[in-house]
Amino acid sequence: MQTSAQVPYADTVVTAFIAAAMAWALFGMTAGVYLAAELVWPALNADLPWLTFGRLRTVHTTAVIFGFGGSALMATAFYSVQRTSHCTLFAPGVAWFVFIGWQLGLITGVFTLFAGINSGKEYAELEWPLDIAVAAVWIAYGVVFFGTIARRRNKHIYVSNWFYGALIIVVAMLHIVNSLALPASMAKSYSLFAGSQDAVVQWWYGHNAVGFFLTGGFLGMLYYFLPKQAGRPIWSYRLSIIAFWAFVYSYIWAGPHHLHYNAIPDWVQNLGMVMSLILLAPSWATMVNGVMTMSGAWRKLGADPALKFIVLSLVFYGLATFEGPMLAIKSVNAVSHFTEWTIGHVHSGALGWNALVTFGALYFLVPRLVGRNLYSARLANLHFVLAIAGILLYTLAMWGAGVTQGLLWLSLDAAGEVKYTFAEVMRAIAPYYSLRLLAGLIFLAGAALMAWNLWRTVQGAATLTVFPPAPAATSAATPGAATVTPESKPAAATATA
Amino acid sequence: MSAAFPITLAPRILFRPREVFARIASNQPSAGAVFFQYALWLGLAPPVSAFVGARMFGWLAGAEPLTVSSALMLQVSIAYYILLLCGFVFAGLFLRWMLPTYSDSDGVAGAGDSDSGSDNTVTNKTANTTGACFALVAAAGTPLMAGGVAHLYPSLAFNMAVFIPAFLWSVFLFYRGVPVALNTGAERGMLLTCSMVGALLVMVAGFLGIITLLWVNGFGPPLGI
Repeated sequence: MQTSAQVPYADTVVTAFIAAAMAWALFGMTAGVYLAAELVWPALNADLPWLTFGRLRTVHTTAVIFGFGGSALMATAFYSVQRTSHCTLFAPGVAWFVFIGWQLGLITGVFTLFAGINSGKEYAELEWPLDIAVAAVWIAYGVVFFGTIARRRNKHIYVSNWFYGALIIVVAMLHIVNSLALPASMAKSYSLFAGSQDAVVQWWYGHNAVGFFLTGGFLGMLYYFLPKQAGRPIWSYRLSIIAFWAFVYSYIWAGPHHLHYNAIPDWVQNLGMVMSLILLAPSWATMVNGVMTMSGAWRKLGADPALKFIVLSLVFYGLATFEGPMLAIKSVNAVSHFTEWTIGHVHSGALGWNALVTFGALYFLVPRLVGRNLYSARLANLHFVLAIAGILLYTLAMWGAGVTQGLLWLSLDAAGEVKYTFAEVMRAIAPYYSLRLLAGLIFLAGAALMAWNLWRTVQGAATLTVFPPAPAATSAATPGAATVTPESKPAAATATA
Repeated sequence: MSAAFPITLAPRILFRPREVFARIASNQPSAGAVFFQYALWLGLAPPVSAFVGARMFGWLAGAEPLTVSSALMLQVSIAYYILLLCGFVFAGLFLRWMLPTYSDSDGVAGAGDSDSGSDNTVTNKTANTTGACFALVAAAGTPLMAGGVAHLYPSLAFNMAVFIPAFLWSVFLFYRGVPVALNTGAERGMLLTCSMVGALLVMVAGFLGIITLLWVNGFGPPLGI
């Protein structure tokens, strides 16, 4: 009879998800660069409906958030839950169903978005048949993940699994509730909610898609891969747990900050604002925890380009989680709302936090999956420089554009009328659009280098077969796991897997 | 013995920065010398240029110029100057505060990094680490402050075109300067610089938030809020 110790980790599905993540990254970021180019040269849409900004934007957001981000989350969740549980995935066949379903669903979804089929809900544009398919795949994801935890051989559930678990449960709730609709045809439905209610539900979903998909899940990635790469436990495990609960409690209320000065009750707006400000605390606690985890492991930065990405991602995580609450203040939001400032904030988070932590995790993971060294550390370091340059240029350009827009839109003439026309404002921010295009090209070049580097690393190799440690060794520490007490900083810092 | 840090160093910082970083490491300027001999003077460039430019041209944001009264512009310029000096002091103190985290002990880097974090190998103890931190911030911030003369032509687009490269230049100087001036070693220096860049970005974002709050509450051009 085969014991769980004799069954290897199910890592081929992890490799598949990583390949998909990189493919979506290149596709989605190219779409983003094309969009930036269209804002500089509108004729680039060639008068083709499917290439217009309105449709291409939804393709871009779907591809980068759910294609790149989602595939990376699934890859790293499946990888890390096995290692922290010291057992193989529960139902590996279902894990492959998740992979195929997720990729097919998104590819189909992208085609529908190109075709102009759009529910009108931001980050939830796919229509109802795909919503149902996504829900089915997502529930399967949860079954595999929680099933693996249920059969774990470590008593303790490591903190990264809490973040991934929160991602799965909360996103399921958000997606299902926000997608509730009355179908009118295969390609059209009407939201169950109407008017202001629909707006509040949409942004409860929208902000928590950011909160749990783009933040919570990636914090799970951080809490596993940072201590793993640094070879040190989390600086304060107690802080990580406190921050987790504070984070999941605060984030869920923050949605109304997307609807300041709109037709929703004042108290709802104010509640969203206050909880957004409170959210700063657990976010920065995590950032400090991450930076301090590096303490004493500096030498690894020279030898490990992947670690540089993760450390820098913490810096931008700090920026994004400071700027977010600040933008949630109603007075600030009165100037920033609908401007490029919000776009700058989104991208400092998406590129600076999500993309960088993913890049770091994948630079670490891919060589280990195939048992080889990274093809070129030099290329990875070059990628690092391109990534910082692209992100800084993007953020600064959008700050300039956003402040300009906000000021000009709100300026009044002597008669108390709006002073500047829409066209005048667009002319004013045109230079910033060119800077954004340049920034996007730089960042995309870095991502392309990474794809090449990873491709050369895996070329001709197969995913290694790795077995969980034998049951007698299950007390050996995974990063900050079974041997961690809330106050301890265990000396055994490297995982057995 | 603390050394001077005069404003005349500014051109050398721009064109021969390595010499200045080595000088900071060896000569140990005091925080006071850096503030009174360098920062106080270089910090004048942006607000004075902004005042002159705004009075001569008005603020150009792609449409017709926004004009404000001399009195208001003077208040804005003085507030700008104070904000820059506060930012400089804050950045220097923040760097000083963070430095031990990235060193073996207070302000000192070990010759060989240790994973245990408790290696006390001392190679070059910096006697005036606070001064060195302030000097490094002043040196790295020089392109940004010098770029402030772009305010003489107060078009936002022109200023962004000058400030973004100036900012990147400052970030580059910081990356280059930290390992030399603060003797942290390459890896720690890189990490310390990343953290400082993050802190500075947070400061800039906070600055944007503060001025937005001021505008909305009536300090600035009239807004329809």
